[in-house]
Amino acid sequence: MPKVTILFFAHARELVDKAEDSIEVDHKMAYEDLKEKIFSKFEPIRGLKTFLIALNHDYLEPGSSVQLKDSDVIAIIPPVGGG
Amino acid sequence: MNKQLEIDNLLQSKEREIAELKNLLDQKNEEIEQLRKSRIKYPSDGVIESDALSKDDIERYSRQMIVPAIGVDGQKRLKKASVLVVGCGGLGCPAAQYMAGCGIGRIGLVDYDVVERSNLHRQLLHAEFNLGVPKVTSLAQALLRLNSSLKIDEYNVQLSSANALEIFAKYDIIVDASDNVATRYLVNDAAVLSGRPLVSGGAVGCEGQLTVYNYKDGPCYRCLFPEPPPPETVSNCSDVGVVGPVPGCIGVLQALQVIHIITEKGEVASGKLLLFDGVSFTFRSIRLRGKSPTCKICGSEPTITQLMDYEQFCGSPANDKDSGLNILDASERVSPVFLEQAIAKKLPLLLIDVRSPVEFEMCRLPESTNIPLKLLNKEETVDQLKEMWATVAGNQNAESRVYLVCRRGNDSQLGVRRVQNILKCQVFDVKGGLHAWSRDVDPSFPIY
Repeated sequence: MPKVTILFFAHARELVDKAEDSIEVDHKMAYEDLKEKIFSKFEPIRGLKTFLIALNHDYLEPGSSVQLKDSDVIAIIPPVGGG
Repeated sequence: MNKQLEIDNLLQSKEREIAELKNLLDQKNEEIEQLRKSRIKYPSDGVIESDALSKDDIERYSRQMIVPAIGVDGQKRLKKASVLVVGCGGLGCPAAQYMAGCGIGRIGLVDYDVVERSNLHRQLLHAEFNLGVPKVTSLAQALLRLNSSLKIDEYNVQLSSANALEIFAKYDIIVDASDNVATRYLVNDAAVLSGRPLVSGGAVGCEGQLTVYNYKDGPCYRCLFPEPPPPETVSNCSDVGVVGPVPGCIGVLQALQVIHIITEKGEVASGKLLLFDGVSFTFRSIRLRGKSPTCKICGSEPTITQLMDYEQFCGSPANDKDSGLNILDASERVSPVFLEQAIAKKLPLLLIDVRSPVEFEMCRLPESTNIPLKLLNKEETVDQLKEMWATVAGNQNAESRVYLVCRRGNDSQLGVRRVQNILKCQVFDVKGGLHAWSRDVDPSFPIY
């Protein structure tokens, strides 16, 4: 199974109390399954509800099929309110 | 006969005099016309008539005009452009500062806050002597000190569904430098409905985000975030804090994006999200989606055709200060004055401060013990809490009380329910938190 790096931004970072971790995923996954996989390992971010997932600097479209390989980087990006 | 000649001469003389006066009048009219032309006019519709660069303009802007990304054409465009900045804080100050510096002809400022001491570490165009002054006034004065040739419009109002479209219509480009999610949806929708590009920035803690919405075929805020995030999941500067240079950096980059949109020479961050992580000191650029065909406001069949109630839509107020939480019964809440009296009478009580450890370290009531809200459900905390309660209550359980306090009286309400479940005793929230304590009991206690 590919091992990918996962980056947390904004409130996601506060919830898991770290900026970076790794997670084992399948080579090919539905967007929703990938999201669930991430939630099951990093339970606190389940409550976020609204956020973007990016794979190697590309936004992932909800409902799409995702190809993953070792050393890919996934980013969890919630919107920030502040300014 | 002589008499006739005399009259003719007089007539000729008068006609010459009139001709000379007519010449003088023409000359004066021409002078006035010249003077009018050399003065940039800002009629009420905001269109600047003259785009000619003056001697001052050329001297002032020469350094940037030499750069191909601006050039003479770019400078003339900047002079004719108008930009609205929503929010005059950590992002709005640097964004407006650089826009004023580069010579954007007309800048509108929207904010309804006044300058507070907790703004000064990052909102660097607000000075100490501006404390208590409306932010739009303070910022407008600072911008005019930098560049007196500009026109600055001040809107000392809360941007709302009632006024947003009317204000947006007067500007070419909108800069979102606001501090809360409800305003971000409002600004997005108003920008889409009025067909204006939106340069959006956000900053909290040590992180910043920047993108441009509603530009050509690029997405809008709703394409990416169709549903508003639950209010408790959005970080804001008031709760999480913010390190000054982070919004400073994002605000300056917003100004650069405004320049690119106006001059049409540099890359516009449409469909691209810039993430700045000030801790790991990394910039990342994420390629976003294009416009979503199913977007409720900018998609092919929009269902949102007018502005709505954004506080209701987001379930949170359009500011970064008060979540306005009110989940307890009135009988479960006490005033700071009541708490002060209970302390003075030495009644048996346990005062728990549920703020974060760093806030507790900054300032606290001497009688209080720190148990951060997020630790209240942990197993070890439950044991600690029961021990503390046993020490306080001893054998006079009936008179003993637990009070919970936080900064503004929101988290303490959430804590009351948890502590009630654990201790099964009388637990109260201190209404309005330490802010109210400072206001009603001890003005020397810091408000932050």
